[in-house]
Amino acid sequence: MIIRYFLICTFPFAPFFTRAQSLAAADSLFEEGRYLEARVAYEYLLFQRPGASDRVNLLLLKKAYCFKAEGLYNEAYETLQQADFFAGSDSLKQTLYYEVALAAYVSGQHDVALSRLQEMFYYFPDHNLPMAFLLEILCLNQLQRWDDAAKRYQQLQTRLHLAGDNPYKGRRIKPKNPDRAETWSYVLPGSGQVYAGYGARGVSSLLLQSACAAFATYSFHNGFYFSGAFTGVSLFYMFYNGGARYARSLTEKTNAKRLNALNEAVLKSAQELKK
Amino acid sequence: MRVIACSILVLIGAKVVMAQTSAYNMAFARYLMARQHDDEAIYVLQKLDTELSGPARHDSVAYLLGNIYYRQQNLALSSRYFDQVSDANPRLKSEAEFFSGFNHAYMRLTADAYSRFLRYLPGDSILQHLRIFELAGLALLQRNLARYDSLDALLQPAQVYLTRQQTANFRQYHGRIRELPRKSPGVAVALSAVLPGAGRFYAGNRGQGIYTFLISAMLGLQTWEAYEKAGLRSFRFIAYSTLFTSLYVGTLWGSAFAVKIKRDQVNETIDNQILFDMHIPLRTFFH
Repeated sequence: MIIRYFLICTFPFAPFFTRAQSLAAADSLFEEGRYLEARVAYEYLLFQRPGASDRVNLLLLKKAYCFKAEGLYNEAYETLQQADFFAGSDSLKQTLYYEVALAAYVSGQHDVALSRLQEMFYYFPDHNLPMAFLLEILCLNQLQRWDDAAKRYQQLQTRLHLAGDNPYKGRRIKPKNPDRAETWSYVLPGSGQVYAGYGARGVSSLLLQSACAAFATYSFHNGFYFSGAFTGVSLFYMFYNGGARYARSLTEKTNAKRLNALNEAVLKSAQELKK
Repeated sequence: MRVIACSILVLIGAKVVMAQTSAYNMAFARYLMARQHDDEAIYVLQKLDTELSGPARHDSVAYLLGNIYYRQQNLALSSRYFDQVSDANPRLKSEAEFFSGFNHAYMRLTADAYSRFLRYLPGDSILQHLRIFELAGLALLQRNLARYDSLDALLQPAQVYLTRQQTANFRQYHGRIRELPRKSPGVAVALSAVLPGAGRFYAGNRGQGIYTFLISAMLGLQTWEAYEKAGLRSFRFIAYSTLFTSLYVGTLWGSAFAVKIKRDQVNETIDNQILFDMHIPLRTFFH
């Protein structure tokens, strides 16, 4: 009788002996900032008894939070991708959609993030996640869909009664064209840099190329044909082509700066959303 | 009496439970590995290693850790764990021995790799053949052609399908190593002194040789022009002659290194091909 009782008690519970075998224990590891151990604990629960889809989704979400806390956004995205977005409670599904979109956005997959958010808006038009709207606006900015982003911001402002300035009003949003900057620099050296917003660099580029051209002309005029060709013309040619390419890269830099400034302005309104 | 019986039962039960738990956790570690959650698998295995008792369990942990670090290209750690696998499990031991030896070869610790393969004496005939094959690859890596010839003579009659193609490749590399031209840095410098760029051309970098010649010719012509038209004391001549002299000295210096750099590049290419061919039969046989 004792033996039978003992065996019944022991064997089914053998795998549950260590600490990492309950959700509460895994959560406490996360709270303590022991993210790797927490991840292992969540994965252990998934391995042990996956159970219903909503429980799996919850475990995957918690594991993704660990990755997020470690700054491993791509891994967080990959983890959330395993979730079943059609199972579980509505609030859990909404959180999953938002978190997968956020992880995709931070790992640089802006189009994926936007499509996940749009899926969420389609299935849950009355969701209660204002940050999702904000994330959508940031995605639209990254994808250079400025008009859609401005429209969505306007809607967000009206819907949530946000005070403060509209960052899309009175701001130069449209990006400068890198091709145009390069072409301008070919026509008039230095003008591409000025177009990109770097006046001093444009003037110095113009001066440098003028000096090379002057040296070539002076050398030819005084009978120094080799110096004129190999030093004056060669250097001019190098600076001429290099300057045009530099104008292109400066334009791209300006565009990135403007986009960051716009995103910063939009994120400032997030402070109000948090309140 | 009843109390003693119960105590014994509790002890046996605890032992059984521990064994069951560790087997389950080992299965969990394998599950993590299959999903490529390497950092999590390493954490679980290292924890298991401290909790387990018995050489068989320790061997499995060491073998799995060796495999994870091998996949992560952390070859020094991989070898450290492979070396901990004992003789208790011949299947794990043989794989650990071969991969540890290969890791050392890949890290260019060829003398260590050679002594490892020399020490290891497998009982199985196919493993014996594989060992000779790896030793032949190491002989090529060490450029010990006489030793390679004697090992190749052992490989030749066996004609094992597992290594047939790679053995033929080894023979090709052997030919290439034998025919590698032995170029002298001194000759390269002398050639560059006569004609700038010729040293690099001789070293085997033809494009660099032509480019150096053209640049030197352009500067030389400008220096000559400055001397002819502006005179020896002119700023133009002093500037161009300084530039030309610097370039000329730099070309001589570069030619001496060009021979060594080119030789290293060719050797590196051959070594990578040898290592690639040493790896293929191991992967095919063990995985």
